[in-house]
Amino acid sequence: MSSRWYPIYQRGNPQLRVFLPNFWMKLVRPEEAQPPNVVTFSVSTEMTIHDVRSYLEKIYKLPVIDVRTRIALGETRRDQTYGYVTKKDDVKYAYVTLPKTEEFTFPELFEKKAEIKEKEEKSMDESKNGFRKFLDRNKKRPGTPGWYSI
Amino acid sequence: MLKLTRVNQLRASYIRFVAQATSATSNEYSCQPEYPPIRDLTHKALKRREANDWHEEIRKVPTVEEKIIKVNMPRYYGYKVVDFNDNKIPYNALPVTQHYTRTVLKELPLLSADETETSEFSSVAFLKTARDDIIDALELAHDFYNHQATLPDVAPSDSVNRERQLTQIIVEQLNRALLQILSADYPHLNDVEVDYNPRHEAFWAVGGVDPPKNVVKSKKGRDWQKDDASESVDRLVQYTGAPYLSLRHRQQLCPWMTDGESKIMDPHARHLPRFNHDARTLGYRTSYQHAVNVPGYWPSANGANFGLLSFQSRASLQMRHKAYGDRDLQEALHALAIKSSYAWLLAQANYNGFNTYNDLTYPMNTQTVITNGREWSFYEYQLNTLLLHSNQVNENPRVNFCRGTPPLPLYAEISEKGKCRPRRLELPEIYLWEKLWRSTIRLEPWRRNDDSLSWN
Repeated sequence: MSSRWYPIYQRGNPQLRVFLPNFWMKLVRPEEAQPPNVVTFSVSTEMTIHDVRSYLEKIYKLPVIDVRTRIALGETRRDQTYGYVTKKDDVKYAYVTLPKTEEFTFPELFEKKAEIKEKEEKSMDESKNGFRKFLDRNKKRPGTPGWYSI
Repeated sequence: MLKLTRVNQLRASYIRFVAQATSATSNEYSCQPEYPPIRDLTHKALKRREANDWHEEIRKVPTVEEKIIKVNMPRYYGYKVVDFNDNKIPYNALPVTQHYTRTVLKELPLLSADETETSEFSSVAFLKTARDDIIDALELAHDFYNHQATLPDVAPSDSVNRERQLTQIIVEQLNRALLQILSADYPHLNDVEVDYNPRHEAFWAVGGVDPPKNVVKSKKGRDWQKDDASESVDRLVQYTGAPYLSLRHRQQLCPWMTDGESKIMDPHARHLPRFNHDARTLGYRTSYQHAVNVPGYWPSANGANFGLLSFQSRASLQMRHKAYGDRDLQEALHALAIKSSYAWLLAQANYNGFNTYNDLTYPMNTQTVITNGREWSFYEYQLNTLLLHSNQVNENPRVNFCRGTPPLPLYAEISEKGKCRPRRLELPEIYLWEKLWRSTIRLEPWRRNDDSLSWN
């Protein structure tokens, strides 16, 4: 199945026993709004519609109704200094339709991210303010250590 | 002499001027101030007024051809349209079809065998004759198809094409047999025009669709449009189809829903299914093309301009995956019936000067049969409105109606010897349009009734 290049066989032991499939699927957040029973995956470009279907049906036992795929062109970018063009890899997206009774919403993986960030910023601001206060207080007596006055 | 006339002319014009001036001064004041109406000058209202003016311009243009050219004018290379065709019906297509055609669907229950026998037409003698002729026609069609398959230079075809070929023969044979038998008792059948594999195309605009990402992004970038960023947009739809056969007549079918019933907001218009997402999320394709409206025949004044019946193919439904299930197959048949009926009627209405921006002034009806030769589903469709664009999708009180049956088997099987075992024979009933009517209202209100201009 795999089209990976493995090291050439060498006699003797230990042998390389790692065989990785190059079929992979990654759940991604859809860019455009779509019906709740459609799930978007980014998949290996070599996977066909039938591969995606059997992957989900056989391994994850999902009730797959329909699969549609498209290959999105990777971004091209011109180098700012030398002007050569670089290109990112193409990505294949698979849109998997589940039965219409099913609903899937992409999970909020970093729900608390903003909250944590806010908390961190708050403590940072507090310490900044403390230091500023200390500087203000010691404006007229430079070089005084922090423990010198109350 | 010449001088005298010129002096007279000058004098006359001076008198006219003085008279006008005095009348103007006398009318200059009124007891109540008469202000001009205050116009809404927001961007949104301006755009709406512009659109209305354009629709009005289209309405005023005298001929059908000019109207369609006017609709096509804004896009030199054609519109971006959702490709609605009769070959592809994705999973869960019924809500989007109902939204895009503003149709209320009613499923008719299956009649049991006893009820069928006691129904209105079952005792009529000619139906018994028709029964034998239908069986003959079916056997003949199968024989002919099998004979064709044995010919040496026939290329092997896939199952979809095989079904198409067989069904085409069956439908043509049955139509021939039924017209022959029934025309003695129903003289209107003598005037019926038959089109084989006609081209049906229709173009229309649908409102209430969520805007694409780039539109939202661009609007969010402008302060004055920020609030309207997620406002729904119009989507253009082009239907393309080719039924096996269609029948048309000088007179229309009688509507089965009254005008009052068709414009009740509750429960119809307000509870219509809506599909706000892009149609591509279901698997429909988009393409660029000009707006085309073709009902499958050339227009002729006082000709057979009203469709009575069309036989649609369900061969492409074979290609659907098994995982879609039986319930979805049933819904796909409904969706196919709705969109083919709507599109055909819209194309016919277009010949009478109506289009997606200028609404119908009278209802139009048709019947649709979807068949694969053995299974037959029967539908009736009433077109009440064509306005689905922009706000009309929320405001228009009128809806269209469709009612139909699940697929009924016409025969049980054809034996190896070519003998047919019939099951239910509702087929003749759809040919018995007793209630054809010629409307007394003007059929082409938005089209000039001038022979030199009318049908071009």
